[in-house]
Amino acid sequence: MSQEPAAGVTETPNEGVDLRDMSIKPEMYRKIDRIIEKYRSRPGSLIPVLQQAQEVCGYLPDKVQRYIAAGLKISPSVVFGVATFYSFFTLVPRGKHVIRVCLGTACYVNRSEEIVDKLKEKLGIQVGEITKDGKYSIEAVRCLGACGLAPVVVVGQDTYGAVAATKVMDIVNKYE
Amino acid sequence: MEIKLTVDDKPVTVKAGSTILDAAKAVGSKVPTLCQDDNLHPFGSCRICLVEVVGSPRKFTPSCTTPAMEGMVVRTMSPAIIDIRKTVLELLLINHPLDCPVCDKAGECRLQDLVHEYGLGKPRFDPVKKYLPADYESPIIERNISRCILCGKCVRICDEQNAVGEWAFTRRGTKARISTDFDRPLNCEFCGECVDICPVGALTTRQFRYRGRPWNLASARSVCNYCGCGCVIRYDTRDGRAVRVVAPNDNYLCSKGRFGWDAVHHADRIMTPKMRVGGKLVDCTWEEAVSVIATNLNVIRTKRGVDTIGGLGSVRTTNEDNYVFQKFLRAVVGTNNVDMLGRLRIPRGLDSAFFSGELAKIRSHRAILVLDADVGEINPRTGIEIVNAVNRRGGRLVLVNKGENKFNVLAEAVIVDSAEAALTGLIAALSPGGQGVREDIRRAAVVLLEEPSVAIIVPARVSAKEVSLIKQLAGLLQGVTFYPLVKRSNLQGGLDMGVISDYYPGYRKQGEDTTAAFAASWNAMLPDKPGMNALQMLEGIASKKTAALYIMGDDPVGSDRKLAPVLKDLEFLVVQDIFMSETAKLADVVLPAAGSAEKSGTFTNVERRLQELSQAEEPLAEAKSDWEIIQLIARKMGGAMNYASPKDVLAEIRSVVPQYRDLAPGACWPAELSPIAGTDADLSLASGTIMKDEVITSDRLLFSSGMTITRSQEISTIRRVKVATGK
Repeated sequence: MSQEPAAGVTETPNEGVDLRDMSIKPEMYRKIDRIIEKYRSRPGSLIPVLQQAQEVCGYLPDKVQRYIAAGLKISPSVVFGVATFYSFFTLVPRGKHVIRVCLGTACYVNRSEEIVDKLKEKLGIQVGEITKDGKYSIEAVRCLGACGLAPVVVVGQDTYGAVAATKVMDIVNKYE
Repeated sequence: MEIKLTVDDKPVTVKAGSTILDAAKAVGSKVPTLCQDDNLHPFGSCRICLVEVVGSPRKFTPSCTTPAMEGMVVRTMSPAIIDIRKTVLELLLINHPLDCPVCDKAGECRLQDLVHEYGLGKPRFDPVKKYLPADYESPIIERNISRCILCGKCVRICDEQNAVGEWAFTRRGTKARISTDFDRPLNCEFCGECVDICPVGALTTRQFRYRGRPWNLASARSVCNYCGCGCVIRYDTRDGRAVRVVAPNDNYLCSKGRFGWDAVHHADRIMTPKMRVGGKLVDCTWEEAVSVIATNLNVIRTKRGVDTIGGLGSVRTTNEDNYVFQKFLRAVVGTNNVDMLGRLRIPRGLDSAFFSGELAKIRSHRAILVLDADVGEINPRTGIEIVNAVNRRGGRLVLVNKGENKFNVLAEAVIVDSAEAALTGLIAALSPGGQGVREDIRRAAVVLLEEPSVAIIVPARVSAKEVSLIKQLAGLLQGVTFYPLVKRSNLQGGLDMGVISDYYPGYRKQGEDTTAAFAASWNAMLPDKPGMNALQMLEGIASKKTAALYIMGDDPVGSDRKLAPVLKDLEFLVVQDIFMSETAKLADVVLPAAGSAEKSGTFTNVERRLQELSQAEEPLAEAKSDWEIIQLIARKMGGAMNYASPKDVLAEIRSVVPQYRDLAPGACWPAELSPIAGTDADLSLASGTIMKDEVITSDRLLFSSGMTITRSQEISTIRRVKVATGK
């Protein structure tokens, strides 16, 4: 079995992508300061802090994780451990529109993998990556709890059922 | 409260709070463990310690996390248990690479031992090996994460015991692994505790890599030579050469203790005696060196007077070395000018006032006060005890700290100020009508006042003012025990052995009666005239009061470069050391001493604990133990010294030093035995006109505090990381 690094750790999936819009700006750090301040004295507050920091920054790059570690006076290794444990947290920037394709059993037998292949081909990115214009990223998920609609694709907050691979780009193109 | 239960048909009584595993150990049942360690909180991740509790709804119960309960009936070795343990091992072997032939852990690997014991020929499951690249980027420690069984011991010891938290579980499921943030190389204290505790070969040391197999090693128990804690170590040797140091009692070792011993193999070691010929130091034989020393000392004794000769003993050599050294100067040369620079501004009290308690008892105190001292750097073992007190016993830490270190997070109250200012403030806060005290000091004072027992960590150097303030503060608190920090390994032993100008061994103040007593037991004429202390000897060089110095195991010029021109004015200088120190470069005769791995003898640590060193290696080239060298010179000068080994010296020490008479190795001599305890005697030297700017600390004590540690190959690799990362 080959090594599978956590996204954004040893791979560089976003090579060549203009990340200027997704870089961490000074005002984001000020917001993180306020989040840390709110939780500093409460034990076990790492997860809510990470959640809110991800809302502010869109993702949790190394700089932000170490900033939070210093602020909460905990080991940066622990922050990284929690950030890589929960699939909710992402260490790489996500697109403006996150396309989640379900690869759970019901969706899988309804050929959801073909949807992923089509998206990869048309958007020119792999799962976990982001398009050069920063608009889209693809994520493969395990069961969204809507097996009756298999195969399921979720774009942003919108859920689409019984999606055919040939039709998926029509859905994606609705999101600018 | 006690709990009665039955384990393997044997009744057993254990303390409340004990686990089933504790009970099983008590009846002698062997329950295997991988993730459990007595120094860590129970974790229960490996499932190898499963046992059966009769009547329990659970088929199997992890014995390391389940509390023993009244009336429990436990079986640890039924066929079903053997079966489940085999299965656990089989599951571990799915991923474990089984690269035992190239694994340094083979032979002392818990997993290997268990698989062997449970006789797993061919596991039932198909192997799915995970080949993750080994981490060769970190200094000191090599990570081979493919071998990891995720027991989490490294994560827990680094956090619970060391308060560092370098390791964490990262990722999840089949991808879970032990790592650092963003898989960066290690940048920690490099104590190697995680390597020591790793049950498999996931963490190994670079130092021992491919250097030997455990079953081919011989071993010698000794004592670490780096600080006053005096941790017990074991040298493992192969073909007569040390290849690693381990903790024989599962005791803590710091980076210096575990990895810094390799300094004895450094190329800077002095190999042969040298003497100055035509302004240059040239190699010579022992006979030549000894006779030059004897002749010169005799000449100076006749021409300039015996009291122009002085000797500086060492805080790093053994009790035996120091005892023979002071006896040589007093009984053979005939002067009381024998002292050591290690006495400079010591917490007064290593003699009497602040006798140290036992380090292992720090954790039993309810409150701990650290007085502006970087404990973790100076005496790492003491630091570990403080972390344990807080993390495991709920002790309350009050920290006086101008900077910030790992203890800040553990502290309940932090006073950001100097020790003197903090002490003054605390005394004011605790005194009647203590008003107008700063809030942080007041909070700290409340903590100290509320608790019935307080440990005070006294810095390694204190001023007279601080001493009186500490005493005053102690008077206002309950159950105070002092724990002075001591940088050098045998400062206590040097004091005990009477390497003090006005005290004989055993703190017997010079006077007519004591001189007569020692003259009788040494069968020699002893000088009546009081001697010069270490500073007076150095100061006396300019005024010709000191004409010759014999320096054993110390490097005053290395501490204070301004001493170099001063020492040049000496008529005769002998330096006996393991390295060509700055002082040795100025000497007329340089003698190669044996390093601490190369000799036997005893050290006395800060707790006044007598501990034995046994020889791990033959002395390098022509090096000899310090006592042996002194004896050669003494005999040449007509003195009667006939010690065959350090054991003979220790036997004599026992006969003249009351504190050592019945002192068993490993035991501490009680404070009451000090004749100067509770008196005004003060053995600390205030700095005089010289040694003022003594370079006491350099940038990072733990990795670069002295002549020896800076010559450790291993520690130098850490230093590079620290410099590069600015941490």
